[in-house]
Amino acid sequence: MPKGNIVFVLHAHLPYIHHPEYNYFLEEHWLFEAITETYIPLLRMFRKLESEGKKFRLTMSITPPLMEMLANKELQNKYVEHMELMIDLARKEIERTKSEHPLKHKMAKFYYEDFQKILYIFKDIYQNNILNGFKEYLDKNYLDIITCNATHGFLPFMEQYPQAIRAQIEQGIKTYEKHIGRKPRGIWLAECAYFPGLDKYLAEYGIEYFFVDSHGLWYADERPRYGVYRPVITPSNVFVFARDPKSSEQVWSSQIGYPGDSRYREFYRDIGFDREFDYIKPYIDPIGTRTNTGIKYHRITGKDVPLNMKDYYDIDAAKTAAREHARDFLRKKESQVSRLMKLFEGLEPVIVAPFDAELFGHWWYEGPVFLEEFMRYVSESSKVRALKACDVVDITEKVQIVTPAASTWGANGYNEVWLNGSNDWIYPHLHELVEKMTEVAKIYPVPENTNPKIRRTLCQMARELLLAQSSDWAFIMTTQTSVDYAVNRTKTHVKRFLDLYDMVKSGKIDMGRLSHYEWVDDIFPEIDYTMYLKT
Amino acid sequence: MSKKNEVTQLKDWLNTNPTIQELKKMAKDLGLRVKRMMKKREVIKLFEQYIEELENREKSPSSSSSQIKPSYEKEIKPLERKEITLPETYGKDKLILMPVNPNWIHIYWDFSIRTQKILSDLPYGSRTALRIYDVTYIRFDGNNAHRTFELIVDVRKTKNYYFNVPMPDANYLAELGYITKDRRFVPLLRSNVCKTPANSPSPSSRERWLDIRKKRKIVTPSQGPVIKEIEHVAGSMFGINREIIHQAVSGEGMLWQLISILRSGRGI
Repeated sequence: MPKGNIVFVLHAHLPYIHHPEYNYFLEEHWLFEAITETYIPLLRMFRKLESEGKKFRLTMSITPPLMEMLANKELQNKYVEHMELMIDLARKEIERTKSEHPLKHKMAKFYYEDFQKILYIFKDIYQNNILNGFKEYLDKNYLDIITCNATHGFLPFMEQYPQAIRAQIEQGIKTYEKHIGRKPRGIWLAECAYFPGLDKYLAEYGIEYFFVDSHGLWYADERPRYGVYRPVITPSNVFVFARDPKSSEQVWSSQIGYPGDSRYREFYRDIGFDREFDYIKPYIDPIGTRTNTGIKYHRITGKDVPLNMKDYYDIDAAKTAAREHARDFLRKKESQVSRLMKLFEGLEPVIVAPFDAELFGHWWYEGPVFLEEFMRYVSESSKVRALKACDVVDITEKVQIVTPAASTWGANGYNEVWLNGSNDWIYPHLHELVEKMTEVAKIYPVPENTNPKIRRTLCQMARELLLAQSSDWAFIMTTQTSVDYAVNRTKTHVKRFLDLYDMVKSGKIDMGRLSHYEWVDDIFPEIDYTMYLKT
Repeated sequence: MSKKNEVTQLKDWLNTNPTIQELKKMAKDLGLRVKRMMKKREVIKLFEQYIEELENREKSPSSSSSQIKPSYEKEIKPLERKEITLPETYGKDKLILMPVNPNWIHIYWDFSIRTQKILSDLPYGSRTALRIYDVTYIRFDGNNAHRTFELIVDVRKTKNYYFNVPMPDANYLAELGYITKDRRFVPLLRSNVCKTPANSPSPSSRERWLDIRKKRKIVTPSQGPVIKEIEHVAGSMFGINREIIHQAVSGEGMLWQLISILRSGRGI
């Protein structure tokens, strides 16, 4: 009997943040938090479902900067140190909470054990590189891992520079191949941002499919007969999947989404902010800035309840909520599928549900439980089945040809999150950098014939350019969180690039400075600057 | 000032009930992270935390500096500590259009020395201006645009602009130049062509299909989609949701809500 298909897509991404020049760097902890709360819980979920013999299917993009960070030895060591410290803190919390509240005490014991297990999985099962875990489930066919453009650069703003687009795609594929050992079949375009014509570049690099937001298909050049519920193919022969707005809304609408349930863990109440300074000092930023520790004892309680009035968190009640929500979501998918099947006269609908991976675990602590339960229920459903995007490509026999409309998954669907009064100042620099990169690459078109010092400088210029292009900096400027860091990162990469450009132009390479930049901006060691010749 | 002094002075100053502007300025001077949308009590909270930290530092014998300085400061290469200033100009003639959404276009410009000179030597009575042309489906020859929009703006003083344009899914091109005393527009720079995104379903009545197994293309008339989708009306990210953004950033709301708004596409 035909079934409805659901393609769950988790987009795992963090900007490249590695500061070897510091022992402690606050923003590096974004990675650590994501490992503890999202990536390892996902791996744990895969293992559990596999051991139960449950058939689960997920599509995941792991972006090149994230792969580079996860494979970075120094960051791995920093993570281990960080976890050892957190385990120490959790141990103290067990004592501390004995006299405070039974629910706090229960959670303290939970965190102590959970942190230990997480560190064990990180260190002992995957030898510090959890990419091995994701690769394992790719090889076993549970997962479809896809790539992303190199540094999550916002491609519509590179439209007049084909070489910049090619460099983003080419480096994204190369990095995937380096870490995963095969070619990616699909790509997640940074911010789901598409413009007509981009498919041509994807086809050039052998990419078989990508994703757009719903209106990418709604407003396509020809109306797709099945709306967003069947993939289409572009004139360049690349498959396109579009987001189902209903699934997105049900899971994470800011108004009605599941993560707002009062039983779930409250993100902002963390002992890093709650405990007295002398006690917490060894476990927060050494300069004394309070930071998250991941030890949290409160639940959302109610949307309008102020932070200091939050009730205590009970993980068992929260897990019950996650199970209820997973069941509810499956019911919704089943009835959605029944409706669609009738309209489609038996043709199988494809429901695409893409999310930031970090929603599951990091922002919504119980998200991984929700996902695990959903996969468990769906494996037993007679109406819905989970598929990977590549499975859908493989079984599709007839497909409509359309060119999707320019679109992103940013607020209101277009470019304004990445282009507004807070961040427009970056683009004159980013565009100029592409022109300068191309200019000097043309002077030295053959790396083998280029003086090694110059070659290294050109390669470092390409790294600085790619790092400056991360859409994250513009995004952060819009959200008004960590703005200083984002502004500084943009300026730093532009400045370093211009320094290096001057060196190449003058022929006077300052080796000390070059080595320093290579050390502090150490992404993509195998980079080849001649990709900027592909204009 | 010594730490003790700094704490007392700061407390005294706070007791004088400074205005939000004064608070923000002082916070900035102290190197505290002030966000643009912070309310008064939030800025005061920043000061309280700062004071708490100063007092804690007082208790800890290891710290001897009067300011809160990163303990890793010694590790920082001198290279990185300077305030970074980026070039104001790259000395090239450039006029770049970028689409913001179906009705807004961003434009920025830069000048070569030659153009700068022309602009500074403009004849008396002339004004600088931007022209936006609707060039959808045409090869622009300077005179054949469907529509032309003109905006008087002193391009020597500003560096970029946002245009409200009437047509989604249309091609626009801009020129920057000056208007002479006798109302003649003299273009100096021409931009790239920029297409605004579509925001409504296509009127096309055709469907093209690919039979993958037979490797055959089929073209049929379209009956329209079998699903009647419900589109959402886009609001402004800087209007209705501002409060939620503010709450999430200040820690009163939830972070996932913020991300959900900023990643809501047009469908949610």
